[in-house]
Amino acid sequence: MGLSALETGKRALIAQRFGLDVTSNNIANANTEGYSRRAVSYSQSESLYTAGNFIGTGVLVQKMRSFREDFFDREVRNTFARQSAFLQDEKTLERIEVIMSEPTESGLNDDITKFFTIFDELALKPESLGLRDHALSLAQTVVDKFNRIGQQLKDARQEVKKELDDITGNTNRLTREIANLNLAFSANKSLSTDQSQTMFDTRAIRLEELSLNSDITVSNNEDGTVNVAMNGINVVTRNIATELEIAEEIAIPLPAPGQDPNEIESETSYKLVKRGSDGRILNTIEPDNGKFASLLKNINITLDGQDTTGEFSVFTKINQFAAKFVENVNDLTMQGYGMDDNGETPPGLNFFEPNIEGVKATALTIAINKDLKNNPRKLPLSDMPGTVGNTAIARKIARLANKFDFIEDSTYTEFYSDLIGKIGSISQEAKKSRETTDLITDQLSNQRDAIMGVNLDEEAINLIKFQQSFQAASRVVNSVDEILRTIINLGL
Amino acid sequence: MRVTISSQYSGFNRNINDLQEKINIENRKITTGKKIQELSDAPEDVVDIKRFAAKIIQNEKYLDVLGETVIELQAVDETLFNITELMNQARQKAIDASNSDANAVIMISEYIKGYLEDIVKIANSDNGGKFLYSGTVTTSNQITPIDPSSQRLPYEIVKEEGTAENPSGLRVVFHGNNEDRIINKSSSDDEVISQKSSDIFGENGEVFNSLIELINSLSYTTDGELRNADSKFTIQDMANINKTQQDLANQSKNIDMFTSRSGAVLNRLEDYKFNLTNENVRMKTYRSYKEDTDVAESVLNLKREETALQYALQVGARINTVSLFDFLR
Repeated sequence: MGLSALETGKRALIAQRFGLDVTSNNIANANTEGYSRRAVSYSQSESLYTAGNFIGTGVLVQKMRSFREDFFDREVRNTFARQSAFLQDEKTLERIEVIMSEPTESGLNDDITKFFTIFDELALKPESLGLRDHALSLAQTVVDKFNRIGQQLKDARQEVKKELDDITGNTNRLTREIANLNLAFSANKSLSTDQSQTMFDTRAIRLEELSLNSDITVSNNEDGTVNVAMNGINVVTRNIATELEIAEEIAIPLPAPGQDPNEIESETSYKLVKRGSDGRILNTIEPDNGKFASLLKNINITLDGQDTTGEFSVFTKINQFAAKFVENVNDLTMQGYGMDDNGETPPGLNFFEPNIEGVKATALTIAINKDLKNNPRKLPLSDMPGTVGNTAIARKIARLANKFDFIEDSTYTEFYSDLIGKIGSISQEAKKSRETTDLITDQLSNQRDAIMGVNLDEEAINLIKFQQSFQAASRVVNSVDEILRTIINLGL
Repeated sequence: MRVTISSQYSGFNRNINDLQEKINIENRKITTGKKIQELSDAPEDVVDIKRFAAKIIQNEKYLDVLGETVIELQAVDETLFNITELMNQARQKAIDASNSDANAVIMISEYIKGYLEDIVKIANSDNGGKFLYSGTVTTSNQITPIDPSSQRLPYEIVKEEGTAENPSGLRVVFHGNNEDRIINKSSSDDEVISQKSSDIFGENGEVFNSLIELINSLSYTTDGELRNADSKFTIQDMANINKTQQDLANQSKNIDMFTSRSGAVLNRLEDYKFNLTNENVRMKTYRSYKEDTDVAESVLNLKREETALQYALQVGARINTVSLFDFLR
């Protein structure tokens, strides 16, 4: 014994103090997001053959392990991607619900109904200039509502574009950070265990943040680095991150005869791309989940006023509605006579603009014909010249309220209520799906937390355990010290 | 399963959020009176509500229109009654004339002229600025008077040079037409609400012509000379008066028939109004069932969620209040 016992005590002190350090670090990081608890494992140091026996020489810190598990990390990332897509959908659809001002009693449909029904009253009192003026004022309300909805949907689309740009910037920052962490892994083989665990945790957090933007596939390399792919396209390869960007595609339709080319609204679509060094687009990334998937779907379909995919687009539907509304009313007023029209042929007055052949009105462009706007006498209600009391056109306009093929083989009320019903149901679906993924995310997070999270009672027990062992090891050193002091004093 | 600090607090946090959200929803339901706050709350109900709302707005407008039409038809009814009254009086005067002396006959002739003027005045009646008996020519500015006519009215008595057939030269000019005025009384039905001038006063204004013939017979001799105090009725005069009197009787019956027809329209419209009112009440009840808050249910839900929140907060406050560290010295 003697000096070897002192050495054994020293090793024990070092090992237990390490245990105390790890435990205190666990306690300190009990609330740190993404922190995986650490645990120390000990092993016996090699025994010495002394006096015919093998005698132990104490304890060594064998390794410090983290409780992070790839399976849970992967599942959590996948769920995060789905959850954030639904959350983003929910956010956009909630905004659309607000724009449509439904369910209220002052929605677009109610205003159109009021506009059509005023013609029932005009059929009884076509001589009333006040009533004619009121009809024009109701028409203006409809036009204003179409314009407001159109403008707000356009603004919403611009907001989505800004969000897309932000998310792209955020994605590029995250991929750069992941690549830098990869570089640290591959370049510093001599990283301490604790350092590397911290970097693992940090990288796992960055990957989770990235999965909020898009579903990703993470593959591990032998040197501890990871490759990250989005929709099968590598965005991080070891220490190289690829810059992504949102590319615009602009399609300008040919102007119709007589149409001002400046008034043509171009169709802009957006896509997430990876460019080569020469600036050419190498790949188009089409994520299935994450914010990118939701935002790209909303900007290219839901909020695209000229969508041609055939999928459900609120803005396109509203534009179709505006176009059909204008077409149906104008078809009738073109055949009508105003109060002072006595010619053999009707003056051919459109109620609404634009009235260019081949150019359809949209929610943004619909307006009342300027010739009619301040001249209610011109309102064409009669189908015979010089007979104000003939209200055939007025009655036909009023009947549009029930025209079964007003738009897409349905009445405008059916079309509109189906439209808002559809907005409601996809919004409800997004909400329910988000709630479901919330539950799954919570379950997965809890399961993962049960393995890698910190339990303070457990750490308190470890604290006592290591403290007691440290005190015991101190006592060993103290005892050996006393023994040695006694031996030394023997010779005096 | 290990329970960690994070899982305890995240679960607590989520539960509190859920409960507060539920309380907020019930609060909004109670304060707004509407159980559907957002489209996504019940999209299928919103679809129904919008369809009903459109139908209700339409029906309310039909009710307005029918209400005003009923008033107009009542005016028509009243004027037709007055016209037949005047015609009957004219007829009675014609009968009286056949038994009167020349002076009285001249006087009666003046009466008849007055009746003619009154009937024309009634024929020019309007309802809310709209002529009742001139077809689709309903306002003055649609009428351009051409000599000898001078007024912007549907009916006008003009006096021209006397002829053998019409020694008084009186004539009633009609500036309107015989087109129907029609309204939509429901989403699929319409109704003619006007009385044609040709139906009431005859294709060529026979009612007026009969009265003018009577005036001619009473005021002029068969030779076309203005009747004086010595003039005696000839057999021809008597035959003319009798025929005119008979014509007036027939025309009066004809107007009665159209008065009945107008009354039938009036009744039909009243029925429609009644049915539409009932339909609207039904639809409003259904809409209310779909969109209005069941206050009792919401208050109970609110109470339940508040109680749950209270207990959740109490239980949550105990999370980790005690750990092993509290017992270490």
